[in-house]
Amino acid sequence: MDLNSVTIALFLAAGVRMSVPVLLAALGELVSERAGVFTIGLEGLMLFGAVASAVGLAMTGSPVAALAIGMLGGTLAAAVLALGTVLARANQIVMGIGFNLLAMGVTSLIRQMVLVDTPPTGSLRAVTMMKLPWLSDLPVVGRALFSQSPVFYVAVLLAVALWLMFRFTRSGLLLRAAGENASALDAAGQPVLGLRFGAALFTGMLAGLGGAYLCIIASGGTFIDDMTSGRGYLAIAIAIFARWMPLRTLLVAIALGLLEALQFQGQYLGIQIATPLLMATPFVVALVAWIVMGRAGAAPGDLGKPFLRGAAH
Amino acid sequence: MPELTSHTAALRRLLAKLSLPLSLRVTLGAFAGSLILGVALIALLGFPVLSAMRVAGEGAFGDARAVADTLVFMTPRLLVALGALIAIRGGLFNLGGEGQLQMGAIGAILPFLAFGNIGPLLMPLAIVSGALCGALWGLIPAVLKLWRGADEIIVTLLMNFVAIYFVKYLVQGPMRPVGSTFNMSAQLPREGIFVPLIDGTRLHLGVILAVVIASAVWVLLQHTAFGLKLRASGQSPGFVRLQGQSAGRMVLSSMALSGAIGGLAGTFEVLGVQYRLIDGFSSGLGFEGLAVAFLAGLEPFGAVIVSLYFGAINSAALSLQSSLSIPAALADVLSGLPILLLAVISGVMLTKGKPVWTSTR
Amino acid sequence: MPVPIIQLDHVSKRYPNGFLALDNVSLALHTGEIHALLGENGAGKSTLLNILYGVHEPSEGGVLIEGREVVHRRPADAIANGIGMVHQHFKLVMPFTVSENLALVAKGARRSAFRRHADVRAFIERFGVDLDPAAVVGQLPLALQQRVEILKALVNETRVLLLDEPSTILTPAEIDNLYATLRRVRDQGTAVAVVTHNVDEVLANTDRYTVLKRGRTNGTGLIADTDSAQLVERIVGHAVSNAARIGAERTPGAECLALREVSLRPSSGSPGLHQIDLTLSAGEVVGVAGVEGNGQTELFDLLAGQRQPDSGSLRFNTEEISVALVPQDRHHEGLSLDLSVAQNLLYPRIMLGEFRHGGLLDHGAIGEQAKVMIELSDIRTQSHATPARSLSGGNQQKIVLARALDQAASVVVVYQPTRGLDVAAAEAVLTRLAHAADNGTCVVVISSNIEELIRVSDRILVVNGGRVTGEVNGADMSLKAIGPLMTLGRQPHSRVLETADA
Repeated sequence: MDLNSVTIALFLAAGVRMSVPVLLAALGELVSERAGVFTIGLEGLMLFGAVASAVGLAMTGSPVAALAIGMLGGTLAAAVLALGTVLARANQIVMGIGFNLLAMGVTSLIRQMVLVDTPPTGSLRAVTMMKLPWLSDLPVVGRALFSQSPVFYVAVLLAVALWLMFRFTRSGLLLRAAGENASALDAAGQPVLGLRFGAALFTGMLAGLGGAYLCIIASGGTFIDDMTSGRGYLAIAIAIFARWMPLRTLLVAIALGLLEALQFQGQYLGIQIATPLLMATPFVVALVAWIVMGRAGAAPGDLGKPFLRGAAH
Repeated sequence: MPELTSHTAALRRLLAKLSLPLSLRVTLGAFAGSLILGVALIALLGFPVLSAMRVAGEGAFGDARAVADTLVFMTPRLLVALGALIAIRGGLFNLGGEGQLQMGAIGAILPFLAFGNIGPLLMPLAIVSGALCGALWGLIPAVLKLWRGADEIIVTLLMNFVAIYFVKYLVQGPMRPVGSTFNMSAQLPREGIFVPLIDGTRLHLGVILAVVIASAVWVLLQHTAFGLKLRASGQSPGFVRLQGQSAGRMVLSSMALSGAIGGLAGTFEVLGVQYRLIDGFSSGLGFEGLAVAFLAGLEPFGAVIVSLYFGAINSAALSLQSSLSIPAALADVLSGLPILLLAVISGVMLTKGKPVWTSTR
Repeated sequence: MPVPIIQLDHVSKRYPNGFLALDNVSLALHTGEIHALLGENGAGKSTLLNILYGVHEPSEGGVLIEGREVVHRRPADAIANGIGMVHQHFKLVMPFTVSENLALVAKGARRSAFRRHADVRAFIERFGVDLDPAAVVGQLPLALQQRVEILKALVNETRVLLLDEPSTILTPAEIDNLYATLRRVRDQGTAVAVVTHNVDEVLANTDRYTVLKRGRTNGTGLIADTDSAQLVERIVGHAVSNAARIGAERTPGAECLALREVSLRPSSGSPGLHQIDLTLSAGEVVGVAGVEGNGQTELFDLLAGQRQPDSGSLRFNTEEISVALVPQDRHHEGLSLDLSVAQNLLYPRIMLGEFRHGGLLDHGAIGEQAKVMIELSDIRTQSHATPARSLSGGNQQKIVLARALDQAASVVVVYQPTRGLDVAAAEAVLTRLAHAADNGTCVVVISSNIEELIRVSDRILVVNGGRVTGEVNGADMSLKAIGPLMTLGRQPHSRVLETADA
C-alpha cells in the first residue's frame, strides 16, 4: 500500500468518473419528482439510452453523436413512459416496473439483432477526457475534478442550472407547484399535464445521457444486457435523500461514486474487501442514509398521484 | 415518509378498481394486446410468424416436457407474486421480491452446508430455513418503517440489490468449494432435493407446493380474521386505527409472511431446479413476480393463472430461440407489455369512469 | 341597473356514474351584486360553480358571458374570461409564500406585477387585507388562508368572483369580515356569487338569491322581496320548525368519564387543548360546539384513546366504561369501503373472536347477525354482502352508527354525525342518538352545526382555540348565546379586519 497523493488522486478521479451516470439519472429523477411524477422506470430509461448510444456509435462512428443519440433514445423512451404515467394517469409504480421489464427485453433484442459487430475502435478521446486549462494542473484535485469527461462538467453545470431554476425562475415555481398541489396549479389556470410531461421528458434525456455515458465512456462502446445493474434505483434513492436538491444530489452522487471506485482502487488504498461486497456498498449506504433520514423529508405533496381534474381531495 | 405514501392512496384506488369483475375483461384485453404486439414484433424482426406461433405453442404446451417446463417457470413467479400481494393488500408496497427470493435461496443451502448430508431431514429443514431467511429480509423493511418511518418502497428496492450482491459474494467466496473455479456452491445430495416427479421432465414438488400455498393464501385472505384485518389495513388504515388495532403488529406480520413466501420462491428454485446456489440463477424473477401480482389484480388464483402465462411465455421463448434463433429476450418484452397496457387502461378508466366523490355522498 | 354578466343557459350535468347533478338550470349573475346560491348538501351548488369555472363541462346547455356563448374546458379558460374562484377546499400550495401563490395565477402582463413583494403588498391592500406577502401560506390561520384564496381569484382583472361555501370554516364575526371584503369587491364592479346554506347570512349580506333543490332551480329573486321562512321552504321543500327538539328532558345518571385539567400541546395546524374540565354522565347528550379547527379533533382523539393528555387526567369511573366512536370521516375512518356491509357492521366483534368456526370465519353466522342489524337500523342495501362503498352517504353513516351502538358502550362519541347527509338521514341519525341517551348511554356530539346541537343536546359546551369558553343548557341553548362564546378568547390575527367583539 502506498498512500501518496497520486493514489488518492487516482481514487478520487475514478470515483468522480463512476458517479456520472448515477448523477445524471438522479438529477433527471429529481426534476420529475419535484413535478409530482415518480419515475420508477429510470433503470429502463438508462438502458434505452445506453443501447441507443451503442447503435449511434455503430452507425456514425462518432462518440459525440453517439452520446447525443443516447440522449434522444432516453427522451423517446421517456415519452412512451410518460404517455402512460402522466397522460393516461396510470399507476406510476406499476407502470415503472413493467417498463423496466420491457426495457430489459427490448434492449437485449436490439443488441442481438442490431449490434452484431464489435464496436468501432475509433478514438473516444474526445468524450472521455477534457482537461480544464490551468485547473487540471492543481495537485490532487486537478486530476480528480478537472480532468474528467466533458459530460461530467455538463452534469455539474446542469446541477447548478437546476438549482437556479427551482430557486429563482417562474418555470421552477410552476414545476414545484405541479408536484406540491396539482389541483391548485390547475385552478390557477396552468397546464399541469404539460408541465409534468415536459419534466418526464427531461428526466429521460438525462437518464439517456447517463446510460450513454455508461456505454460509450465507461464501457468503450459495448452494450451489455442489464448493464445498469440497479443504478437507476440507486439514482432514485439519491434524489430522494438529497431532498430533491440539485447541489446535494451532486455531492451525494459523487460520494457514492467514490464507494464504487473502491472496487478498483481499493487495493491501492489498502482496502481488501471482496468485489461483490464493494458493489453492494452504495446500496447499503443509501439504505442507511434513507433510514437515518426517516420521517424527516418533506416530499412534494402530490408526488405519485395522477392528476385528475375535479377528483376528490 | 408519510407524504411519499400518497402513492399508496393511488394504489388503493387502483385496488378498488381491480376488484370489479370489469377488471377481468381489462386484464384479458391487456394480455391479448401484448400477444398481438409480440407477434407483430416477431414479424417486424423478419421471422416467420406462423412457424413461430407453432413452435411457441409446442414449446409451452406441446408435450409433457414442455408442460413441465411451463409449470417449473411458473412456480417462482407465482410465489413471489403471492408474497407481494399479501403485503400490498395490507398497504405495504413490498417491491423486494427479488431480494427475498435470493435470501430464500441462501436459506435453502444453509442446512446442508452446516450439517452435511443428514438424510431425509435435509429437505424440510431447507424449506424452513429458506422461508425464515426470506421472512427476515421482509421484516427488516417492516422494522425500519415502524421505527424510523422509512418508506418501504425505496428500502425494499435497494435491499434487492444488497441481496443479489450478497449471493454473488457467497458463491465467489465462502460458499465456493475449495478448488472449484465456478461461482456456485456445492451441490445438494439427492436426498435433499425435489426429485423430478415425472422422468424426463423437470417437474418438481415445488410446483405442487406453490399451488397449495396459493390456495392457502386465498383462504387466509377471505376466511380468516387476519385476512380481514389485513385487507382493512390496506384500504383504510384510519379505520383500523380507530378500531383500536395495532398497525405495527400488522406491518410486521404481513411483511414477515410476505418475505417468507417470496423466500420460498428462491428455495424451491434451488431445491427443484439448480440443486445448488449459483450466481445469477434469477434473472429478474422478483420483478416479474411483482408484475404477476399486479396483473392478477392482487388475487391469489389470478396469480396462478397469470404466472402460468408467464411460465408459458418463457418456455415458448426458449423453444423459439433454439428452433428459430429468435432471441429469448422476447420473453422479457412479453412480460413487460401486459403491465404497461393494463396500467394505461386502468389509468384511462380512472379518468373516464371514475365516480366523482363529492361531499354529498 | 345591474347587468347580467354571466349566465347559465339550460344547463344539465350528468356524471359518468349516471348521477344527475344539475337539471335544466338557468341562472344569471349581475355586476355590482352579491348573489347567494342556496341549497342543501347535494343540491348541485358546487357543481354549478365548477361548470362556471371549467372544472366540469355541462352535459347540456351552455355558459354565456355578456350574451356570448363560451366554452370552459379547464380553469384556464374561465380565468381568461375574467372569472375567479374561491374553493371550499383551498387550492393553495401550502409550502409556498403568499406572493408565490398569487404569482401562480398571474397571466401575461400581470406576471411582472407580482414579482416583487412591494407590488404584491400594494395589491393586497387594495382590498383592505393585512397580510405579509412573504408569509408561508401553510402557517397562516384558516381565515387568512381564505383571504389568500380570495386574493388569488382577484389577480387577473376579475369580473366574476365565485365563492364555494366560504362561511363553513368561519366564526360569526369572521363571516361579517368576509362580507365586508366582498362588498368592497362588489363595489368595484365585480359580480360576486356565494354558495352557502346559511339563510341568516344570506338575508343579512346579499342582494339576490337563487335556490337549488335536487339539481333544479327552485326560486330566484331579490333578497329585499323575501324572508327567512320563504327561503327555508324553498330550500327544504317544506316548512321546518327549526326549534323542534329531539328527545325529552333528561336527568343525567351516574358519572362515567371525567377529564380534569387536560391539556395537549399545540403544534402546527393544531391549537392543542388547554385545561379542559369535562364530566360525562350516563343518559345525557353533551354537545360540543365550535368552528372546525378549535380543538374538536384533539378532543375526539383523546376520548377515542388515540392520544394521551400531556398533562391532566382522563379518568374512567369504573372498569366497565367503554367508548364507541363515530368518526367524522366515514369513508376513511368509519368504514372500510371495500369490505361488505356485514363485515363493517361486525368488525369489532369479529376481531374479538366471535363468528369463528374451526379457526376460520363463519360467513353464514356473520350474514345472519348482519341482517338483524340492517333491519334494526333501516339500512338500505341490496344485501349484507354488498361492499360498503356502494351505499349512499346516509346509509353508510347508519352502518357506522349501528356498529357503534351495537357495542353497548357506556360512552358514544360522534363527530360531525350529519355532515353530507340529507335532511331525512340526518333526522334518523339524531333520533337514534337521542334514543341511545334515553337508554342510559352518554352521547357526546361534536359538531359545527349549531342548530342540530340545540335540538338534540341536554347541554352544550363551546370550544375556541382549544379551550372550553362556556357551557349553556336548557333555554339558554341558542345561537345568540353560543355565537359570542365561539370567538371568546381568540387572539386577533388581522389588525385591519377584526371588528371589536372578542
